[in-house]
Amino acid sequence: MAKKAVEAPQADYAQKYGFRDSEKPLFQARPGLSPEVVKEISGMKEEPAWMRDLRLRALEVFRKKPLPTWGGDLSGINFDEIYYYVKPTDRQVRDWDNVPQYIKRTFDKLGVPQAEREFLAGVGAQYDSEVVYHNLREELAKQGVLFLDTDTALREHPELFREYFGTVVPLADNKFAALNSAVWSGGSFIYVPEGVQVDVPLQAYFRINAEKLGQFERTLIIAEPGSYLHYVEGCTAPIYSADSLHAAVVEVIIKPGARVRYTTIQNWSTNVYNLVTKRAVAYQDSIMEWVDGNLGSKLNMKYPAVFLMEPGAHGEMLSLAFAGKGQHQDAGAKMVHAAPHTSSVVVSKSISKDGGRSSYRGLVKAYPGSVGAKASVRCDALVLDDDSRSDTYPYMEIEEEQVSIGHEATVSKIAAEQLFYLMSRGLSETEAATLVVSGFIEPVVKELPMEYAVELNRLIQLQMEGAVG
Amino acid sequence: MPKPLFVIEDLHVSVEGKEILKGVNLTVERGEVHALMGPNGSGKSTLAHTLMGHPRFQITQGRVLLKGKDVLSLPPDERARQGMFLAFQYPVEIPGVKVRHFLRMALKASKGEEPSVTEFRKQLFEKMALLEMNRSFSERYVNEGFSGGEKKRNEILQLAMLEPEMAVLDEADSGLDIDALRSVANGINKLAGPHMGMLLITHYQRILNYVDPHFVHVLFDGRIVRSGGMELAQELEAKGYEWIAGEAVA
Amino acid sequence: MKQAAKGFSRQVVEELSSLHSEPPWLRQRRLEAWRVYEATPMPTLQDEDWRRTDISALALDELLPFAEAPSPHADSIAELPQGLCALLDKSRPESGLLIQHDSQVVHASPAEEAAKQGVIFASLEEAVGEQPELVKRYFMTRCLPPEHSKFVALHGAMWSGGTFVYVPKGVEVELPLRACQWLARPGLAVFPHTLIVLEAGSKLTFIAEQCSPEMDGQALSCGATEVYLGEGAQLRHISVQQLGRQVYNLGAQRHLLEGDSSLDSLIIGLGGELTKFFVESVLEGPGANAQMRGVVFGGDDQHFDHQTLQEHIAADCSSDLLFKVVVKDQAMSVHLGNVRVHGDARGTDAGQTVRNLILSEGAKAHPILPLEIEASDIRRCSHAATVGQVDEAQLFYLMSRGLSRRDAQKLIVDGFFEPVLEAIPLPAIQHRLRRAVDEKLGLAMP
Repeated sequence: MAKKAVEAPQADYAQKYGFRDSEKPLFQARPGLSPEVVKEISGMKEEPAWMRDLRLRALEVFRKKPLPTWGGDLSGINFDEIYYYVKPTDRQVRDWDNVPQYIKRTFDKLGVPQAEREFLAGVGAQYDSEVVYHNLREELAKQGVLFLDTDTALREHPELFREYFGTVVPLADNKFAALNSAVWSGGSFIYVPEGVQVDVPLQAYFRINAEKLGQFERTLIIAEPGSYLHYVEGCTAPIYSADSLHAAVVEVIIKPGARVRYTTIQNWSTNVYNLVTKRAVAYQDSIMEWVDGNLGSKLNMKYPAVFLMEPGAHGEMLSLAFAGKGQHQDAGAKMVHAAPHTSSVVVSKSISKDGGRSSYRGLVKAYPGSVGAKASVRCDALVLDDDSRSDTYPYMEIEEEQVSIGHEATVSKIAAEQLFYLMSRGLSETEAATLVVSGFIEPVVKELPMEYAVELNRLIQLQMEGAVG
Repeated sequence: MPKPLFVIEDLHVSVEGKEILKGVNLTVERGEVHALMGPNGSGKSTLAHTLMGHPRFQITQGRVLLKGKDVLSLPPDERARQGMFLAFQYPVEIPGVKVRHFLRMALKASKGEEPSVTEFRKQLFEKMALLEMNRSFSERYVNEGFSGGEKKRNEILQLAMLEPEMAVLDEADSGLDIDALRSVANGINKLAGPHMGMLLITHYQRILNYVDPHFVHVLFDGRIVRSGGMELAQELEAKGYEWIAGEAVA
Repeated sequence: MKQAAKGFSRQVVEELSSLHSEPPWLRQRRLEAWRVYEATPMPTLQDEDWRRTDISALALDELLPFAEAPSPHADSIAELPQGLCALLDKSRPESGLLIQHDSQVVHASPAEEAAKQGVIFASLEEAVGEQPELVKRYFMTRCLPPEHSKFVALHGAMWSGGTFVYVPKGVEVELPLRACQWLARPGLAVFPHTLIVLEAGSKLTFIAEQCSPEMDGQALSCGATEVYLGEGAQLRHISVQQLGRQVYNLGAQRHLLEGDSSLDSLIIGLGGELTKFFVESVLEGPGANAQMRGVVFGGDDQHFDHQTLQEHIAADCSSDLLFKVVVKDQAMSVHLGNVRVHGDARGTDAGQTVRNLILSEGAKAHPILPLEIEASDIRRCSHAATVGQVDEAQLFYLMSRGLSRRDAQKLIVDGFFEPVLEAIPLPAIQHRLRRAVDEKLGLAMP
């Protein structure tokens, strides 16, 4: 088989996702961050005073907190050059035909309307700072399910909003959560009433179009007792030489007996810093599952957390990271056991190639009193060439005796014997290597909805071409 | 009249709220070998673990009398000291603890006094010879890295050393090839005798080709549904458990 | 200077150097180490390496930097203090024994057989006079320079006594050499230095013990051990720490391994109030192999922090670390285990396992095992950590054989440690450690 020489690891990114629209936005705040910019954003959104004040307080916290010194190299971010708010259109619609043509073209290329028709129960689409399209199937709306963009939720459900907003990730939690709290715009707001099962996934698609943009969506999910939800998000951006910043905050509240699965396919272009705070609180006998696929971005720092607050709560993380040329994937999970008989499972698979660096960074904490807590962490890394790097930083803080906690990690390369065996059956070296990689990530991929699994496998396949020489 | 050695009386046992044993009755006298047969899920292992006092099983009704005394409220170590023994179906590994050291501690615990080193060695090597075991076996860590057959033989060695009055052997034959099975069965035959009562729990009839029980019982759905002699085991072998199932339903 | 004033200063450094009549180059090294010490900030909970270990209760200014031993020259063991005598079971011959009491080496029984083959085993102070070139070349230069960390720098400025071992090319020392450090004076800080140089193809077993009686009052043991393994050299290195409950133990041990050399090291941590100990193996030459084992048992409110490093620089090296930790009462154990594989370290095989048993409510275990891999062509790189209590299935099995719950638990903990203790070549030390473990366990159960 002829090998394609592939320069970038995100092989066909340019054609498939890397295009851009040159249409002028409706409004664009001046670059840089100041109380004036924050007030301007809040004013344009006609927000209540409490939210404006919260934003201003958060800005103060952001300014005071130092940049983290661990994780990846953040020194390349120039906070003064970033556009913190770019509004593409003045209305949000429920019909793709009413979306401005150039934006619709973008989402058509990305296949979003088609996916909605074929296998989704509801879709939100955010373009730069604002959500431009939102729709939910009628029967779910009738059952009381809310699926809105977060700005609309603040306007239309102020009490529900205020009860939960910022309770899981307080504005002062970390520097980038503070930044998000100051300038947040867009994101998804989901409310699932007691006992309601949303059997088909809801999806949000996040698209950055403008150069040097900061996208700061804010997502809040509330699952009432006994309910079920699967939420999927995807993200892409054009390729620019200047860097963009994506700093989202996601809060998930899972009431007793409820279950939420949150799937992310992060495929930003390699000029995006992705610095995201995701956290769930899980109450009695509830289940929180994060499925986190990290393929894109320049530097990704993301450690979704589950706080297991009441007996029987269960947290899971399935993480997949692929670090190609110029990429640093610093991803992981945090499982905090704060109640008896809670359990958690972390499975992380990472691949480094073409000088990429992938790191697993995770914490398992068992507080005194978390009797019978069980936690297992399994990290496997594949390093495909000599220039690439893999790190594992597992933290364990165990302060209860009656627990069972385990961590295991391996780092390996593709074994020559495996390649030989497969090649002896007629596969080319690239095919053989791709097959081994597919098997390596299979435990994560099989948890994805079929359409995403196919897409992910396709992406991996592309990235693998020319992997072995 | 002397009290019987071992009596199970209307024993009801639940696991996580589900009733597994629904009134088991059985009496074992000294010198008797009883075989208890039953299909998967009939409650065999539940019975074995309950008799030894595993905390996972809740007794909702009934008594278990050893020499006339109810043992159900006793912790497992106290039952052992009173003369009971369980050969485990799945013996656990105790890393870092040598078989020799462990046996000495167990002897001390069950007999109340520590045997002298020479006496202990003599006894240990005698029993190992009796069971055709290599002496180096006693220097290995308890069950760590043992093959299935070695684990079962280690259980029989403990039975030999501790000389209990009432021994329960849970699936002593499972997972063994024909040679290992013969060797385990030989050990059981050598150890059974007038001083000891024995309850042999098994799924298959094949170990009974080597060990002759005085009584055979069939456990089905938490109850003993048939009792008899060897002919019952042979009938089971010929007809399978479906035969019992059919009868039990009818 | 029989006894210096409390606290540490440049003046103390100069006084110590004068006291030992040191050559200018050594005085210069002390002063340079002091400069580094002063330039290095005191570790706080904000430092990544010290995040879980709080030394703010250590009153450094109240400590004496030096104190003469009560009897500076003990020709026979009988002249030593009783508690120290008890440690030294002489039923089995060692090929050499060196004893440091407080700040001074008080006894050095020669390794006669070995000396004939050119082996040097002496106090470091003596070696400065007699082997200046060797000491100058190896002492706190490439292995543990003062820049390593704050307390290594302090050690470099304040060291006293110490052990020097030199094994010439191809010489195999049959019997173990043993160095025993006895800290008996409350309020004292000791800085014993151990320097071991194994030339190519040589072989040695070295046992280092740090012990002290129970004392009323804080004390500090701040030791440093530097080991050079030449090509194909083999070292078994056993370090036993049984310091009294009031003693802070801030130490570092580092091994540099040349090609095809092999290290088998064992760390035993039982005593002290607080321990922060660096244990590092640097695999510099191809084919080197490092086995690093450890046993830690914390009770009461003891705090242990072992920071280990397996650094693979050369190709085809292997390293394997296994630490077994038991904590009970309010004790806490931190294990910061780093594995670092450089880009050229092809064929690396690195493993790391830390097992923690928590015996009581209130005890804590924080294993943190970073793995940093820059090479792809590696054979294996893995780590595992577990934290749990004594397994219920094991307890049931043992109790079904008549053991009480307490005895069953003791047996399981003994078994947890046994494979490591068994490997200690001196049975007397084995017995002593088993007794220490049992004593600690005895306190655990009602």
